[in-house]
Amino acid sequence: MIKTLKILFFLIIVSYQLIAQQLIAASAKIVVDSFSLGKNRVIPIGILIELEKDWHIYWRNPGDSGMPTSVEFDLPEGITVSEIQWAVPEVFEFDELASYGYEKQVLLLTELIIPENYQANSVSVTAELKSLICKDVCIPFNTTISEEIILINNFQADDNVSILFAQTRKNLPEVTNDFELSFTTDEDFITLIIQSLNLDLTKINSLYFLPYDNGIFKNTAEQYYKVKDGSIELKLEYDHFKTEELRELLGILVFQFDDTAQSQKVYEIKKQINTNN
Amino acid sequence: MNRKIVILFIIFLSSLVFAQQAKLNESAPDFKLTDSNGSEHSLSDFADKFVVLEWINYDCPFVKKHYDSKNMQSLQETYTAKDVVWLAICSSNKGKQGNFSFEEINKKSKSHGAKFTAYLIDEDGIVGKMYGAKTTPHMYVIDKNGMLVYAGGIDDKATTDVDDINDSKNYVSTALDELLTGNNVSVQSSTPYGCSVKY
Repeated sequence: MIKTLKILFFLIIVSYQLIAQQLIAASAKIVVDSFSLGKNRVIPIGILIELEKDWHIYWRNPGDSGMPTSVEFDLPEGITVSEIQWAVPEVFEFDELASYGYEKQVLLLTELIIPENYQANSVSVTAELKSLICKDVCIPFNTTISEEIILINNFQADDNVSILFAQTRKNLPEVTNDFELSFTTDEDFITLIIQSLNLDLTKINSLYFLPYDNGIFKNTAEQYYKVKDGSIELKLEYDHFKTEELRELLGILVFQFDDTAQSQKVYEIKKQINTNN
Repeated sequence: MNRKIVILFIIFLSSLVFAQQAKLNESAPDFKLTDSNGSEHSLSDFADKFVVLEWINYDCPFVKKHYDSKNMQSLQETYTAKDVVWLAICSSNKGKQGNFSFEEINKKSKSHGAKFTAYLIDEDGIVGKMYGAKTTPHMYVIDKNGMLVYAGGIDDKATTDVDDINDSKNYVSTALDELLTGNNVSVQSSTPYGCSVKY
């Protein structure tokens, strides 16, 4: 009897500690930026995830470990939501492994699209967040959050919220037609040849590529690049357990032009790969 | 002269390390590890048998998903009954999550009702790195000729949610069923998911 009580007490303590750890380590809420319904029927919203010191959450591609953060929305009929726009992640390298994600806080941006014939004066938004948060250990961070958004013509968000949206938008990869991309490939590597119409690529300090899809490239591999005739050759190593043949190179190129964070420029790239070239 | 010898020696050592990297459709690198009862096991002890390697860390939420649901134990029981050798390998370093004493390991394995052939301890991470183990779980299947024929996740649902197990495609059981019926493995690699191995 005493042994059973001891086990029960131990289980309660462990469960309490786990729940407390999860509650303390991360929180999530829906935030809304300023909008004007008169102009268009789009409302900028975001899932704001705040993390305690040393904890991180994962990008759309988590890298060598962890899991992709995902959000599923439950919305009134007729209202749709755009795809999440992912801010440029940090790279966490440890024990010869690399993961991609965010520390401290991240805002997952999206937009609600309200149809003309939507009659109600508010929108109830529910988001189911599925994620994992880690430091030296990992715990699931799964939560359901809700927000009632009143549909007024001109909504003005708090300054702090607007600043957060502005900072996050600044940290999104740019979609551009500035690059001309070509490649050569063999069994172990793909070499991406990048030419730019507007950027002086001879002045870069560092460059790396982060893929949207996991399992094709070696995440930990040093990415070597060289400037040649005004263009750049970036060499990416395939994971030797790669899960499929590369058909499309999709991800972000992160350029650093000097040591300051302001000099970072990030572009989304998309390139069909026809290995018969 | 001495410098040349040192450089050549380093190149020789590097080539040995490189040669030891596990690759699909090549001989699985041999290893010798001690189990949680103090007995030694080499991969070469199991020549002529199908072998599963399961990277494990009992405290990882992804490992818990597959042990709390009994999914892993059920796979272990099913396939060891068919003469498959199932080796759980823990590469958690001293002081890191998942590194336990023999007594703790055996207690946890018993409470989970684990049915693996042995729980092997790889504290220095040499075998984990040789196989490129990134996550717990990370699964490998070796055929009767000692060739590595599968490397990757246990299934295609990269979540910690037990409810996802029933709807998932289990790559390990698929590979083993194919091998046991004399077929080639149709899906040889997948992206592993889980906690990082605590090297």
